[in-house]
Amino acid sequence: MIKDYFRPKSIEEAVGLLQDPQKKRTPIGGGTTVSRHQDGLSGVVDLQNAGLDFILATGQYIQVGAATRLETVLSYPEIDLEMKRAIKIEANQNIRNAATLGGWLISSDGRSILSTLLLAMDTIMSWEPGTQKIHFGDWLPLRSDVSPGVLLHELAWLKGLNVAFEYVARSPKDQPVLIAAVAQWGSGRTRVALGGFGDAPIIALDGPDDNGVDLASRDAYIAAEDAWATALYRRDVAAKLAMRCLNRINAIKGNEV
Amino acid sequence: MEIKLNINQQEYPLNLPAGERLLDTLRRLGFFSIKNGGCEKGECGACTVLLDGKPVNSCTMLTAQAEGHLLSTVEAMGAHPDHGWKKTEGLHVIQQAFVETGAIQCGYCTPAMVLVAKALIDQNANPDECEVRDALSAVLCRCTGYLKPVQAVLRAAAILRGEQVPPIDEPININEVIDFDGIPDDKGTSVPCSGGTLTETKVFPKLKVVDARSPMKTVGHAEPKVDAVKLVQGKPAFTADYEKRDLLYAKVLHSPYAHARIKKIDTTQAKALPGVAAVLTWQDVPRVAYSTAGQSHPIPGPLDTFSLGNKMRFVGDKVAFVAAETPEIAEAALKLIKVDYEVLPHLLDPSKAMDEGAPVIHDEEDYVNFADSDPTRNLAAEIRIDIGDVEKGFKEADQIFEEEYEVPKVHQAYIEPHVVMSYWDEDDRLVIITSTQVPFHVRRQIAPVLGLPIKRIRVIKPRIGGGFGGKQEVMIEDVAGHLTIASGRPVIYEMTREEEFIAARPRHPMRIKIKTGVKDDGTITANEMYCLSDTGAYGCHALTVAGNTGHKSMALYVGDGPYRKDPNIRFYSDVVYTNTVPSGAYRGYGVPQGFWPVDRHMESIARALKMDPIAFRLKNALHAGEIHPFSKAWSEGREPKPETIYTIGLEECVRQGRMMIGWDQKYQNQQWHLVPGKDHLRKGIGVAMVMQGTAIPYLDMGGASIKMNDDGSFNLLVGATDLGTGSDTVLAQMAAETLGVPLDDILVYSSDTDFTPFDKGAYASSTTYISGAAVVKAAEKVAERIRVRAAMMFAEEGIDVETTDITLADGKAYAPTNDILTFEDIALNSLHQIDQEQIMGVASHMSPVAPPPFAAQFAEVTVDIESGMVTVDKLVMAVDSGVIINPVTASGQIEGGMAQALGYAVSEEMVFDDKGQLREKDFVDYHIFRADEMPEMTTVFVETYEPSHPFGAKAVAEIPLDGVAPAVGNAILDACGVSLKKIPAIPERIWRELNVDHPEREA
Repeated sequence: MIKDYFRPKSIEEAVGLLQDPQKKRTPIGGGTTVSRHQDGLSGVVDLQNAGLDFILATGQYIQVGAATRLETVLSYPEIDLEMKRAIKIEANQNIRNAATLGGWLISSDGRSILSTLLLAMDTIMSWEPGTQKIHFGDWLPLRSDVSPGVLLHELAWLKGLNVAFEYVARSPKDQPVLIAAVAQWGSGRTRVALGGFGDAPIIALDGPDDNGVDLASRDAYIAAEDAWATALYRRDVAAKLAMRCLNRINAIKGNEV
Repeated sequence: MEIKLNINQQEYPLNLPAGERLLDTLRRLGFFSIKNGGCEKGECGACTVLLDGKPVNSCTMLTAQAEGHLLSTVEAMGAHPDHGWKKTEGLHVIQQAFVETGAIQCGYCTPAMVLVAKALIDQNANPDECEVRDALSAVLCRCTGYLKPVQAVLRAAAILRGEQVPPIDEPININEVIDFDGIPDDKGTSVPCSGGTLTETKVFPKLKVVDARSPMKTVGHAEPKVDAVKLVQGKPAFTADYEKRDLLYAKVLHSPYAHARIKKIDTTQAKALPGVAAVLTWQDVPRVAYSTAGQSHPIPGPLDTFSLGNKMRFVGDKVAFVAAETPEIAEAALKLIKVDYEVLPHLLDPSKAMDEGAPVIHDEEDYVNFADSDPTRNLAAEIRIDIGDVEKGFKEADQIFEEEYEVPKVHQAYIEPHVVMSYWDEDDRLVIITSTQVPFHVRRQIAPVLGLPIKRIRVIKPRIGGGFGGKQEVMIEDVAGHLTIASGRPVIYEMTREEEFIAARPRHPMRIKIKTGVKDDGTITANEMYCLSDTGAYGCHALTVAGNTGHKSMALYVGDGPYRKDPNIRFYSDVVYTNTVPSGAYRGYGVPQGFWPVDRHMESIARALKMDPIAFRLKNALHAGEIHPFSKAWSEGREPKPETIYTIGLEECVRQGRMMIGWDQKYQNQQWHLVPGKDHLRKGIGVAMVMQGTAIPYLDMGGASIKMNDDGSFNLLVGATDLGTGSDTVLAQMAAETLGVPLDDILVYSSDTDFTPFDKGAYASSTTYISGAAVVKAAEKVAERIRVRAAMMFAEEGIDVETTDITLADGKAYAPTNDILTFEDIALNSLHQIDQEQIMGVASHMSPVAPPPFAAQFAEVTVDIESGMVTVDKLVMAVDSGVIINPVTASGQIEGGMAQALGYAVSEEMVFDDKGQLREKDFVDYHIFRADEMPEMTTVFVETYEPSHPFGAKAVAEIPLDGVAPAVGNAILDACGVSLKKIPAIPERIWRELNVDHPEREA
């Protein structure tokens, strides 16, 4: 049961509150998850005034503060359109106005389009104290066991990536049973992430080019079976969706040329 | 902790627990416009507030997070324009637009929608449809299908920009015969958020008058709903909004096992928890067998349910009740109840229910049989109907077609969860305020369960936040009732969304075999259906739902030629128990289950015969003047009596519908089926034809009471139950039309078992037809007394007038001499002056017939042939519901019904694992359509005049549920060749047909 509520005014103050070993406290962004999972918590650290609400688009990276609302991300001009589409499918406006990017990703499961897309984009997480960096893909499978800090500070991804995602659901705004997201760097590096299954999206391919996108996708979901879809289905369609993403990216590149 | 909230520009210093949710704080402070949808992840949005002008869900926010921000609720937006000597600025433009456009049905989500609309328009004065739908996507609405809320927001924005908007009620259209000669522009799926671009601020539906009639003042007009003004303000109109001193909060412990016996139950620790007022188990309450199905006496089904028993028959069955000072204490007490279960073998597959050696779910000695129920074989009900000579019909056929279909268990998904409050009044009578569709059945059926005579129970039905059949159950009143009896204190029990899924009464799933004999010319010679219906753990509505599956869907196609007069139809059904959540009533009541196989089968036959699917259906469908074939054979467990069907507008429905969707340009047009630049997509178009019923003949009865007030206004008291459908409004319109007064002179009250006349409640599409006829009869009695009184008053002034020559209109009595008396004059005279009398009328109505509405439903889809994902792009429904009493509320029924049926077609199902645990327990996993993913929807009313109703009306509420799934199924077939047998049309089902089961189809 939550007994204490804190609203720190700085990252340092937030980190101090979260590092107290005597207290089981958790940071909250929008509160959309914490408000319903209070068991075992003694306090919450509300990050709304901690200075984690920012978007920086200077240099090569887009850097987004962990407590930046999804709606703010959505309305930022330099955010990729494909990411905006993912946010709109995944979260309705009320949720977007409350939920933060950091909180959303930390509490997301394998059926999150946004999480899958950011995984494909090789997003880097930055944790406090110490501004420790970890790739989202390295953090996801083990979650809190490998968090290099107590407070997620920032998420960053490279600007100018070519990205696309495709998904399958029962209706256009339903939770997907299958997601394929592809990110391609200027060098040709191609990363394919799959979602729609399990506790977290996974990487199907991270290679110097786009060779084997379909095979890698098929193999990655060879055992992806649950109550929502069979592995037979997921592995077959994952390959098709990944190829569709790649074709879209190639079409964009073709238009740019 | 101590905080200060700023709510609607007012400071509220508060001391509250740090973990308290904003929703709970606001409701405790009296902001009842903030509704609880029972969800925990912010899925429904009914609890929306504005935080610094932006909409957020208050259920997923801690109150402390809101400190330092400006909170706004609907309470501060607008008010009734006239508060006596204090004038207000009236409703906000957005609220007014919601009232006028018919955007409000049950009204539970309305305050939330109004807030998100305000936030949108404050930020963007000229939002487009996508932006409106995106804003509304945060608020789930199960009633409207979102079309009218979108129109309301667009209309409000236009008004706020100073633009002219079209009038809502255009009576000139009512009698105008619209021939849609021009082919409508096909705008396809033109916007990424779907919904098309056809949404206009003009809300009056398209209307084709078949049987001309005289113009009327109120009936046939788009009158605003009589409860809309209070609902749009978020007034405390729902059960959970009632406040009571010393209120206790109830929680229910549910079984974790599908089939188990309680060996021992220990409540010692739970009772000892401070703040706990009562803990009840099966050892504490009387054992009374009853049915939760809210139906007329005698209940047409087995009595197999016990308020609390020692045997659990599904995951979610009731184990114990707790009442405590707070919901948190009650929840904690549940965890302290120690239960020792003997886990029993369970039965989940209905096809194995009657196998020898199957677990017997009802082995109790006090089970009360109804008709052919046989609990030793897990058989809750059995139906065997033979009309004509079916075997002879099959012998006469040139071809026989047989197939098997399946429909899932689906939830009604009303946004207001079940909620009930009970308390002893000062006369020691138990008052039950409950969100029910059947207040009179609740009173009658709960009385023995609680050990009280009926006369010591009073049931009050306030506004209901949607029901759709799910609240035609007496399912929660025992919880609060028992706990009030035990504690002596008021008790409220409000189900959570998870409880709604695991422990309410969703729609019966069915496996249906159908066999049809056809001559080569397309004449149906015999039609046979076997329906295996799964009633779950209890037999609520077991017989009657399955009966309707055959009664309506198998009645439509009688055959042609000699078969038309003597059709050969067989309908057999076994309704079996399984250890799953009990099934119950859901809008359509068995008929959507029936039309999925029937219409899909008709499509298959037509294609096999290479006949036009529309022509094939119409060739074999019922004609006006023919006898309803089932009326001689079955009537919900009662004596059947033949019924002639006088009005059938089906052919006109087909004509209008096919023009609206552009059937002739698309069907068999290969080019149209392709999507340029997207080789993996195929478009398809489909049709289905359906019929429903209008009430239950010789059974359903409604009463009405009308009395005249001093100012010439009238109180209309009805037991009929408006669950958001607008029935209070259409009843008032019929009263107003009969009495000759404007609608706002009719003050409707529904329902209270102490004060309003009996009505069977809101089900079977009966209110407009049955209760409406009662209202008209009562109004005619009042009108007659007004004429008599007016004649007397005219005579005193020397004007000699026959009562029959007096005309009532505009709140006045007109003599042929043009002399006039106002109703106020007449009321004052009758109440205070001469030969005083209360001008009043009481009447009731029961019908010997149940004239069916008919409809043609069309769907257009896009299928991804690689993934199997289906996107429904367009739905058109042309419906013959007789004379439409209120075109805007009626079209709202059609749109909302189509939206629900859309979920049935493509996305909704309740799936159990091998332990009987449900997969879907919230609105994330059980996805219902959002505003920003809806297809374009069009409604056309084809008005026939039904002679058995005083204004020519038939039912409208249930029929939109019937044809969407088969029309979508037929459109999928048209798109990619997949003949789906099972719904919903989830992607993997289509993909399997294309790639695994029938890979040749992919080409």
